[in-house]
Amino acid sequence: MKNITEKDKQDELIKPMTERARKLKDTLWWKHTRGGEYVEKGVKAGIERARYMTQSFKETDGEEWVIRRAKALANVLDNMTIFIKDHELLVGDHAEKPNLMPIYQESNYFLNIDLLNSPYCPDEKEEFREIAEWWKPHTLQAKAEKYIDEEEKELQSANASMESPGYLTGYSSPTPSYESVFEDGLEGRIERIEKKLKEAQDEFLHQNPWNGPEAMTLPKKMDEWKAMLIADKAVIRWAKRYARLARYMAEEEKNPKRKEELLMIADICDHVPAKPCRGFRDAVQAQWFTYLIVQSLERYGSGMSCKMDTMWWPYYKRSVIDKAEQPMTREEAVELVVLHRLKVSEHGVIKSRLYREIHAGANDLFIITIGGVEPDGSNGCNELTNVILEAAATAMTTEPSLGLRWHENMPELTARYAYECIKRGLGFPSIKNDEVAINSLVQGFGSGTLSIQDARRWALCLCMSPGPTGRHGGLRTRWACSSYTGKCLELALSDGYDYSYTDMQIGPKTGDPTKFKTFDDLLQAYKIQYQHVHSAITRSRDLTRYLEAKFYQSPFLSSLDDECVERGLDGIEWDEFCNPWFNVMDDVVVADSLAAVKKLVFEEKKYTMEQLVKALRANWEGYEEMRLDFWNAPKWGNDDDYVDDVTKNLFRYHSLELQQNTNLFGAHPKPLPQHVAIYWTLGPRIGATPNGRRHGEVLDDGGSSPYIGCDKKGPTAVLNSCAKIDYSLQKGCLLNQKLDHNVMNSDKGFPLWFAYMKTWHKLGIDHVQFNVCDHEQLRDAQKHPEKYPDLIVRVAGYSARFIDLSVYAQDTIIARTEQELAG
Amino acid sequence: MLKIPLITEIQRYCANDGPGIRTVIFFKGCSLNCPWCHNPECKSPKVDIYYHEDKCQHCGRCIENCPQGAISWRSPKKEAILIDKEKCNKCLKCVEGCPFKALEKVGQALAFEQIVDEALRDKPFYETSNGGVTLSGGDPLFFPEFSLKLLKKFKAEMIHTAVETSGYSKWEILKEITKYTDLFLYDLKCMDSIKHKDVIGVDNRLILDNLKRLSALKANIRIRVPVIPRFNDNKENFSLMVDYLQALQNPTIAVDLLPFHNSAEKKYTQLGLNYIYRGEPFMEKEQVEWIENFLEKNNITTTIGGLIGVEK
Ligand code: SF4
Ligand code: SF4
Repeated sequence: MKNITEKDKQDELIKPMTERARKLKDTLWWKHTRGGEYVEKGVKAGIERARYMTQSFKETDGEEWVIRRAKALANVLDNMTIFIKDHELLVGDHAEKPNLMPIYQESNYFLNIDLLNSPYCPDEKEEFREIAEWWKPHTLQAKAEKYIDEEEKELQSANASMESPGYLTGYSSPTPSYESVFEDGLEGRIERIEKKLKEAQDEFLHQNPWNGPEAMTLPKKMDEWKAMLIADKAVIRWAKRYARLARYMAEEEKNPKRKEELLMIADICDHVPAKPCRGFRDAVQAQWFTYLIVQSLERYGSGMSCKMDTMWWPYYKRSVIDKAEQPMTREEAVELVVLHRLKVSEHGVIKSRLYREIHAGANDLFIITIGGVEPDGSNGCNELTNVILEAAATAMTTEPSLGLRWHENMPELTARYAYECIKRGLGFPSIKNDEVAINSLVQGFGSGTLSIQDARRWALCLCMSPGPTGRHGGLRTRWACSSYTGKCLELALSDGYDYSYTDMQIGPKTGDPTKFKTFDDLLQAYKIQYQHVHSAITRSRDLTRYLEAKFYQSPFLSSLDDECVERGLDGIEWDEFCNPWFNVMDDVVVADSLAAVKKLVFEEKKYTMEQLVKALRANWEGYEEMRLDFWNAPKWGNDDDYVDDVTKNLFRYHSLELQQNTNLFGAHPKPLPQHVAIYWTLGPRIGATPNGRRHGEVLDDGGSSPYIGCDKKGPTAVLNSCAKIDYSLQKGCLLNQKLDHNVMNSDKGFPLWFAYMKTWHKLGIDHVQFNVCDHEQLRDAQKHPEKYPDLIVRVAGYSARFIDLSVYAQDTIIARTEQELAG
Repeated sequence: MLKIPLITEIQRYCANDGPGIRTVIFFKGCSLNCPWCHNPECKSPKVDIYYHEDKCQHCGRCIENCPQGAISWRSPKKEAILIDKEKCNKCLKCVEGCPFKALEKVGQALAFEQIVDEALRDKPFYETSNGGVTLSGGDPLFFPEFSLKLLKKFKAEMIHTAVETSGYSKWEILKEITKYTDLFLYDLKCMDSIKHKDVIGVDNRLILDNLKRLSALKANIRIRVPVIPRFNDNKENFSLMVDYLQALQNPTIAVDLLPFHNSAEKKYTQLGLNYIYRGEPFMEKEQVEWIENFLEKNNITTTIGGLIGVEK
């Protein structure tokens, strides 16, 4: 008799996809990009959002901008084409057809021009040309350009030392309060807002004696409330359009089972988001509707910031456990979550070429947060946490990604579900240390503080950055940007001159590097370059935020937030708990480089600064022997105190220098060392570096992950190195780890991994995520992509389908994997 | 006098050389001479040189640098070099002088403290995984006093210890080592003494006797059997093994069958050593299943591929 092995136990956890889900998955329109282009033919922009927004804006000339925004949204929702696909139970889309995506013509006129000349232009090209023309002076970009000069413009848009500014990209990641939709329903919100508006009108018209400074804050608030009301009512009407469509389709439907389903859809869409949710089906549909508006129709927003297992739990419990309302089985619940995943998978964004490159292999970034502790500190992992993980392992889609908050008393069963996802190569859940994140949130950023209870309600705003959630959660949209420290180092070694990419003096003059006498001289120059870049992006971020508050309001998002409603504020303006960060990139390349220079130039004196500068300018050509010396110098990730000290200090002053900046809310941004797929796109932008890397080769893959091929002592040594970083100074810190495919699939896989994770947690490391790939399989997939439509690899803060990656990116991943097997 | 071993590697995060997450210390030196050895760099107790042909840029500097004139071009095309082992006195001038790191020294004389420091670094991982440190090689029993000292130190640090050995050692030494060893990974290659001596160079009687005594002391023992084509993969050998194991005073934990693989081929090439199994195909799991079945039938717990599957 065969014993039941560890492996059998695990395989039993995950059931295959249902027939319905499989059919829907097979006919999905993936919006993934590759090499800066959309992979699937026929994926393009739809005109309707742009059309109906513009139509409305033309009619509302002279009204307050926030009202115009609300009316424009209403016009889109009242008129856009809607549809329900065969087999669907969860409905709602962001464009008129499943292959299309909406356009955000109001953010950036470059993007509009780019779109007009790209294969992704809507079929109604002439109409869009007119729309783009009309919007040009009203775009955020045009508004921002009034405040900057040519030099600043070049620095900002060169993309050599920093990500393009927000007023060019329109990039954001909101955290809506789903709870207020679930608990109050939009009708409840409307009641609340009407009350506020009424009170304010009374106050304004009857104040006696008149108190100007106070009373004159009211007109702006009244506009905001009016806009919220317009938006909320429009969203209810829009959902009811789906109800009508479903009912109409039910009448026509021959199949009695499908007919019943359509009637159920109609019932749900009539009910939510207008009224409070009754059960799990309501809650899933209400979340999806809300998400579509906040992150796709009102404006573009990335991420899917929410604590999903907490947020849905009361409804899950009512339906699945108590069977009180909308009763269903656990299997049905898993299917519904799978359908939700498929909805997200078909979602996409028309974006600039840069973002199409940065998010290679993905349609956008969607990260859902689960696990962690409850506000009272007890274990917050529940059955729904496991259901969400199971749905991910079942559906095998890259989106949405999951972030698991790992706390001290992590239940073994939840860990097993997480392991099942990782083992299958999904690359997620990405795992965050709950205690570290809570601690960082409680500390705050210099603008307001969070109570520990509120901090415990955190979810990832985007890939890596925790922010509070709930009915009043602080900053509702992202205040962040990315900077490239590899370039800062290059500039420190070239007196501020960018010789490798823009051929311009983009940094301050920090002195002739060949005259540096000590390691500190070099560090000093580096710090000045670093500060220069970070002051500039703080400026551009603040300017964006200032303009967004005037011309890019989100009345619907704001209407869901209790504080915004209370204070008549737009989500953009809400300042109390500002949550600012910068994605600081290439830091490990910089750390390895600094350590190598310290050792070989300033301590052993094997080479001079002059030789180094020459070799770097020559891209190491003709200096191979020297390059190998620098390449073989101590490297981060091997538990080697020499280089680990350099790294630790680098992370420290990255934080201290950054916090010298104060943003418009009075907060000090913290660094978040991580990369998206930027480490590929940056390769050509950053010249040779003293860690032995050549110009064009990739940067490190993010945060505290060792440079490719440099972690020679295995995963435990990597963790020991990482444990030396002071995470309280960072907003977060990404760590990519590789796991051996064979061990993962053996009986010993789970117990070993679980032990490893316990140690990881005990060491107080902020984050970890895993790639599990068999390099033979990857090589084969490169040759025969058709055989591997579902092969998923972890890229950085997200996962991608391997076949969607460029050959260059594929090679990098294969190199990373082979290193693991050799090690 | 304490014989100090050279160490070829201290490998962390090992999963197959004992329970949990382990650090394995590879000693250089062994009393046996198995022609299939998977760690040929650990056979000789002396320093060796790896020649990485793929890194070599054929600059000829090593040839110039060698005071013994031991290095020459392998052919007039100057595509690779050749080290004459007879002439070489291991002065390592060639290694130091190679600009492209194509020559590598194998075997480091590490201080006792240095080894201990490296092994203790992963202590937090041993604690959560019930892992520890494994002495391997080569054969740690080739350096008995040093091994004993290390094991004592690890036990004082409350770390689980394992010793991977051929068992070829004086009993007095092994007896002492047993006190500080939580698990033996004990190699049994072949039951036939004559064949053993013919192929491996030493008799197996001492090995078998030691195992008997270890068992009498109730040591925890896993038997490791490298299954080598045409050498020990026959019924007779395993029948004898069953008889022998069943006669032990206390049963061993399990037998781990390690099917032959030739992944060490590259190392033989780099060392410039002859390897009789060049091109020999990997042995598939299916080819050794009959042994597993046979041993299991005789109530001996058996695994294929070592400790993966240890829950059995
Ligand atoms: S010195 Fe190194 S690179 Fe040059 S020939 Fe010798 S082994 Fe090859
Ligand atoms: S070790 Fe010394 S003697 Fe041997 S080959 Fe190298 S240089 Fe020549």
